[in-house]
Amino acid sequence: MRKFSILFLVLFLSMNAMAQSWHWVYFTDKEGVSFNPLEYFHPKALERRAKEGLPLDHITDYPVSEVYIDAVSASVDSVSYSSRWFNALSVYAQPWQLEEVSKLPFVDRIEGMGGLKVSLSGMEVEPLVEDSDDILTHQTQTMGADRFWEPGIRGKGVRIAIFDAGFPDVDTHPAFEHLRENNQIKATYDFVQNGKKVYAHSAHGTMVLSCISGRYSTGKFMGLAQDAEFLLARTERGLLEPFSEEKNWLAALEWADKMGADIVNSSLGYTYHRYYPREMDGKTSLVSRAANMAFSKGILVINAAGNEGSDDWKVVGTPADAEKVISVGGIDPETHYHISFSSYGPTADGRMKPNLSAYGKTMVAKKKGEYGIANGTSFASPLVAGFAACAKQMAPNLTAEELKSELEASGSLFPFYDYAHGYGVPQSNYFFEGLVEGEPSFSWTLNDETITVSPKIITQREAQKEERYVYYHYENASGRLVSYGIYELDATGSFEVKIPPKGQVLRLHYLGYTEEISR
Amino acid sequence: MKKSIILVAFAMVTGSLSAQTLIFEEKGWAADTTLKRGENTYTHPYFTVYGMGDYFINQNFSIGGSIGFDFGLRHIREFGNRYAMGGAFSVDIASHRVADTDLGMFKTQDNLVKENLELTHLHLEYFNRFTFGKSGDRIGNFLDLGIRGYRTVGADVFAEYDPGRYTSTAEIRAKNVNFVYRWHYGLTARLGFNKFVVTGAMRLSESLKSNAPYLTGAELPKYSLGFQIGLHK
Repeated sequence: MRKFSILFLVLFLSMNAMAQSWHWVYFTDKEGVSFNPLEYFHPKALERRAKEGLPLDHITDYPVSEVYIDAVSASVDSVSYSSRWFNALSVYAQPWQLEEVSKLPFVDRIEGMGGLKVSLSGMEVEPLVEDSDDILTHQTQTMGADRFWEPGIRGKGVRIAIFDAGFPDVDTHPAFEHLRENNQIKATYDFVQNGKKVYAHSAHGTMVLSCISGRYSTGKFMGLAQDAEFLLARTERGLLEPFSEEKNWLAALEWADKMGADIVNSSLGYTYHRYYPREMDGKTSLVSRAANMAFSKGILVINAAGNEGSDDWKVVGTPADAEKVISVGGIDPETHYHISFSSYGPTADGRMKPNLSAYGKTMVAKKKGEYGIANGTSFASPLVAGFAACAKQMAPNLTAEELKSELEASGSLFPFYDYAHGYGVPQSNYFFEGLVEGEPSFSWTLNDETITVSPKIITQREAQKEERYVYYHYENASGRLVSYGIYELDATGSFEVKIPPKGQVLRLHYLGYTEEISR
Repeated sequence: MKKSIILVAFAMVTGSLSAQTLIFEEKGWAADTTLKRGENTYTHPYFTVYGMGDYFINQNFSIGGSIGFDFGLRHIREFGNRYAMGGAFSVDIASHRVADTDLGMFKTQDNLVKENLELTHLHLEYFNRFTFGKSGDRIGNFLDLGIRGYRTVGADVFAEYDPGRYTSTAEIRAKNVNFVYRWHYGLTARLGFNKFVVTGAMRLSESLKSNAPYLTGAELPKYSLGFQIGLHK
């Protein structure tokens, strides 16, 4: 009898674990719900809506009907978050309970939430090394930080929300002393444990914050937006990966909207286990749809492209696949081009990703008042978020749409692009001088089967490493890149590339000048 | 001489023409078509070494130590981040060292050096997997709880004698002895850290038949503890 009891227990455990799961219950309407935007929204959120030309009481801002929530609650094991934007309620239920819920007249549809597995886009943290100071200098200066800083543009008045797995020691670390002194951290919320305490758990968020607004012990800035305001949200559990992280991410985004965020930095991504790469189309995952919804409300989401570039997965995850998200890839401080682990584009529906790039190896503030060198697009993303905050300070009336376009146009390669670098590293000069057409920097001649490209030569001594790179890509008739790459120039000489097949376009980019060649 | 100079000059020019280095190259959209979904079902082989402690089986003989090797194929399907279920098929070869008492049946000669009961089983297992911690693109950390049934397809007694006095025969193998039950079932548990796994098993069925007086109440060890390597990344 005892033996059979044990067997029964094993089988019961398995059946029970399979039966219950998290789902989203979507409602048909918000009948009878009232909403006062002036009470609900922070003044910064109202201001943003006004600048974007948005109504203050859009139906997507109304809360979910309490009547509907109560009715569903009575039929399921438990309910959790209710989303205003999607008019949906997350529920934990047995299949037969969902069957009951689906029969309610105000239920539009039910979707499985899925067991998303989050991938924090940061990798190992190394101790400081000899060239750490070089990395620190260049992680900001490759974007032209001084050009922003000299006239005092440091993200003042711009509110950045950071979604991550924890922010330990942000309340004590010297790297963030200025944030504490100037009361720049405006609000915190832990969406995992439903509380305000976020200064614990994974240090990933601490490192990410330092790449926007941290200061090294010498006083040198680690990120561009030293004067920005911050909302810190813990959405990821860290070591444990429950089913609720997608829900937390959405909840944090709605919270950031309410609290008046202009920019969201999210250094995480969802990839395998629940998705095929072909589902990285910016429409399939809830988090991508949420990011696009945030954009429609004037919030620009900046997301790490991901660190799967050298894995089987290879492509950007979600929400980095969302159309309205600025996805940020990583470049290698040593080579000044794509860092091997940075995920590639395009999206499954052929859109260019990543949008921009920044250093994928940076100096960061760690726990216990220490500093280190961290690898990952997690840290490229906040560098661009800090840059975006400075751009937003310079042009506060830019809508999210305009800001996104301007950021892309400021890329070091723009209008050239590829699926490893996007438009390149954003450059502050753009926001002072606009787009400067590069002088023709190479000539080319057509041969029988090849094209000979003769670039203007800069001597090895004069040239920065990135100034010796000639970028190329072949684009097909539907606008997708067939192939792309980089030639590194030696001291002299020309090189040959193949003539683009009929229907394809070859673009070459060198020293800020892009030229298009086709048959 | 003049021709040689021209050739050298030509070689230098062409050398410089090809001196530019392609340092980065990627395919565009085509690269994506080869990608498959992140693994939520996967199959991998594994290899286990396990041991069983001393086990007094009856007054006639005891097991003086056992070792086994298990080679199998495991299939797993994940249902979300925390739970998976799977099945496994394996071939298991176990050797039980028999330490007879004076009354033992196996002890047929006083110059016996060692005597082993060697069993070959075919296992079929169903298990529940509870995963914890981050796994990235790997299987990660897990606790498996399962049940298994198995068929004993080989049951041999192997005895080795001191050849000093019996030079003609030093080893005897009695194949397919009839006192071993052929069908068994039991519970399994595993604690895994990606490819490195600690395994445990408990047999719930009886192992030896009581078809001879000396076998009354006799049993092989019920519990085993082992170390397993999953053959995957």
